[in-house]
Amino acid sequence: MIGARSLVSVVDDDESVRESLPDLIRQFGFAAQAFSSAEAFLASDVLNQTSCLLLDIAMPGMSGTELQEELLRRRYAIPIVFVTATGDRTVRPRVIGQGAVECLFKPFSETALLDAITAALRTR
Amino acid sequence: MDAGYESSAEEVARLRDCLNDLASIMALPALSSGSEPGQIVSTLTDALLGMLRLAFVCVRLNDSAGGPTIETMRIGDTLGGTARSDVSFASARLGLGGELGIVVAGSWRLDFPTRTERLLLDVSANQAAIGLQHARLGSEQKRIMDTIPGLVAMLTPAGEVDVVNHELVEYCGQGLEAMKHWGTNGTVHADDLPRVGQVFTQAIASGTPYDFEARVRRFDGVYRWCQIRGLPHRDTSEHIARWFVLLTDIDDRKRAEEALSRARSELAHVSRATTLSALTASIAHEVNQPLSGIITNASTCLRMLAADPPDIDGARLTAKRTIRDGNRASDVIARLRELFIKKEFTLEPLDLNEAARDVISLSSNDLQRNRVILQVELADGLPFVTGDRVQLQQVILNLLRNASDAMVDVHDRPRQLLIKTEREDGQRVRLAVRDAGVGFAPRSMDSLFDAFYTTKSGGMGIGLFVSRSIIEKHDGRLWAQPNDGPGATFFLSIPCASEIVAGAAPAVRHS
Repeated sequence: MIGARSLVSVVDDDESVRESLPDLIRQFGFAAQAFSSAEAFLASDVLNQTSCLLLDIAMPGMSGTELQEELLRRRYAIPIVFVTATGDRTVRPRVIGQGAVECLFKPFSETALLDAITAALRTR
Repeated sequence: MDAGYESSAEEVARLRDCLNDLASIMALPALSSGSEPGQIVSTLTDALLGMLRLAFVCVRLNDSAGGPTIETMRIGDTLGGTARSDVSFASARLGLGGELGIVVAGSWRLDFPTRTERLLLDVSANQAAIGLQHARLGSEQKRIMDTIPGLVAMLTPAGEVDVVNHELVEYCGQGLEAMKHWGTNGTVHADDLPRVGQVFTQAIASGTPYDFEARVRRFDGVYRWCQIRGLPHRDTSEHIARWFVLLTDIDDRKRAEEALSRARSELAHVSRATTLSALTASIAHEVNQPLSGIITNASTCLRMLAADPPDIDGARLTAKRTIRDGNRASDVIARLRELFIKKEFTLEPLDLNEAARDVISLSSNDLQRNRVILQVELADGLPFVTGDRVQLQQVILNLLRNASDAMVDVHDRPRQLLIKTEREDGQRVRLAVRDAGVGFAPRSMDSLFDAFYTTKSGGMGIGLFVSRSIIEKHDGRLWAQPNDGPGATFFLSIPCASEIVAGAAPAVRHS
C-alpha cells in the first residue's frame, strides 16, 4: 500500500457524508479528515499534508470546481477525486479535463472509491 | 305568285339550294354557343349577305344588362353601279319577343323576300338568337362569378378551365388563357401537382365532388396553401355540364394552425419536461445522497466486523447510520409520491404554505448551486385555498426557478430571493416571489405571460404562460411588478376555500 498513513481529506456539505466517508477511508488504512465547506478546508492546516482530496461539487459558497481552481492558483498539486450526487454525467469529462483524477457519482461502491483514492495517491 | 309556272327542275334546284343554305346556317359554329355577341353578329351578317345577295343588312342588339345597344350595318357589293332608289325590306326578330334585337335586310329585288329567303332569314335569326342567348347566359354567369367574393373557376366536364372569375385572375396574376395551362405552367406547386392530377382524374371519372389542399402560385410568385373544392353541375339529363371550383387561400390559417399545434406540443412537452427535468435532478440528488450513505456505512460495517479483533461498537454505529440513511431515502420517496400521484386536475382544500414548503425543499439544492439566498416568510394561520396541489406547486416551482435564473448574472449584489405568503382582502391568499435579478422593462409587462416570450438565452418562454393558465383555472391571478430596486416580484392570488384555516381545520392530508 502506498503511504499507509496518507491523509485523505473530505470536503462535503452533507453531514452524513462527513460522518460515514472518513470511517470507511480509515478502514482502508488511510488517515481521514472532513470539512463542511471549501472555505473551511482552505483555512485549515492540512493543505500540505493532504495526499488526496475527496471533493463534493455542489456546495453553498465556494463550489468544488472553484476550490479546484483556487488550489491550482495557490500551486497546491493535491490530486482530486470529485464526489457528486447529481445525475448529470456530463460533469465527469469536464472536471477530469480540468485535472481531476476521477469523478464518482453517488452512490458508489467501496471498490470504486478505493480505486480512485489509490489512483490519486499514485499521481504524487 | 309565280311559283306555279316554274319548271319542276328549277323548283328542285331552288329547293336544293335552300336546303344547302339551311344546312350551312345550322353548321355555322359561331352561331351555336360559346361565342361573343360581336362574333355572332358578324357571322350572321356575312351569311345573310352571301346567301340572299342583299343590298345591306342591319342588326341591332339590345344589351340585357341595360348597357348601350349595339348596331351593326353591312352593305352588300351587289349595287353594281345601278342607281336604284326602291329597296325591299324584310326584318326578323332576335329572340321570341325580339328582346335580343332585330335584323333588317334590304334587297334591290322587288320580289324580296321570296318564301325561301324569308325562311332562310328566320332560321338564321333564330340560330343567332340561340347563340346570343347562350352568350348572354355566359356573360351573366361570368358576371355572377365576378361578384362572388372568392376565387371561382368553371371547368368543362373534361376538366378544362372554361371561365375564371375576376378575383381568381387577380389572385393568380394570369388570365383565362394562361390558366388553361395550369397543369404545366407552375400554377400549382410541383410537389402537389401529381396529387392534384390524381384527384381531378378521379373526380372527373366518378363525377363526385372533391375537396383537397394544394399550394397555388399567387400573383407575386409565392406559393400559398389553398383549399380547392369542386362540385359537378348536372344538366336535366343528369350529365355533368360543368364543374364549379372554389379556391380558398388558407395559408395564414394553416400557418396559424401549425404554430398552434407546435405551441400545444411544446406546452405539453414543457409542462412535462422542464418541470420534470428540474424535479428529476432534485430527485436524483435527494435519493443518491442517502443511498451513498447506506453503501458507505454498510461497507464500513463489514470491514469493522471482518477486522481482527472485530470492532463491534464501530459496526453497531455504522449499522445504525445505515438504517437512518435508509429512512431518509424512504422519506424522499414518500414526499415525491405525494407530488406525482395525482395526475388529473383535482381541486381540494390545501395549505398554500405547505405546498410552497415542499417546493422550496425540492429546489433548495438548485437555489444553493446558484448562490441564491432564500428568505421564506410564510404567514401564520393562512386560510386554506381550493386548488390542484401538483399544478400549484408547478407554478411556484416555475416562479422560483425564474427568479433564480434572473439572478445568474448578478455579481455585484446578493442574489436575494424572497418567497412570501399573506392573506389578502376579499377571502384571497397571495404568494409573492421577489428576486433581485435583471428585472424587466415596464413596457414588456404585458408580454411576460405570452407564450414564447423570454429574456433567458436558453429559455423557451413558456413557463409563465403555462403558469398563468394554471392560476386562471383556479380563478386566480398571476401578475408581475418591477421592484423599486433591482429585480421583479411575481404575485399569484387565489381564492380561499370556504372558512377553513390551516391548523384549525382537521388534517386534510397527512404530512
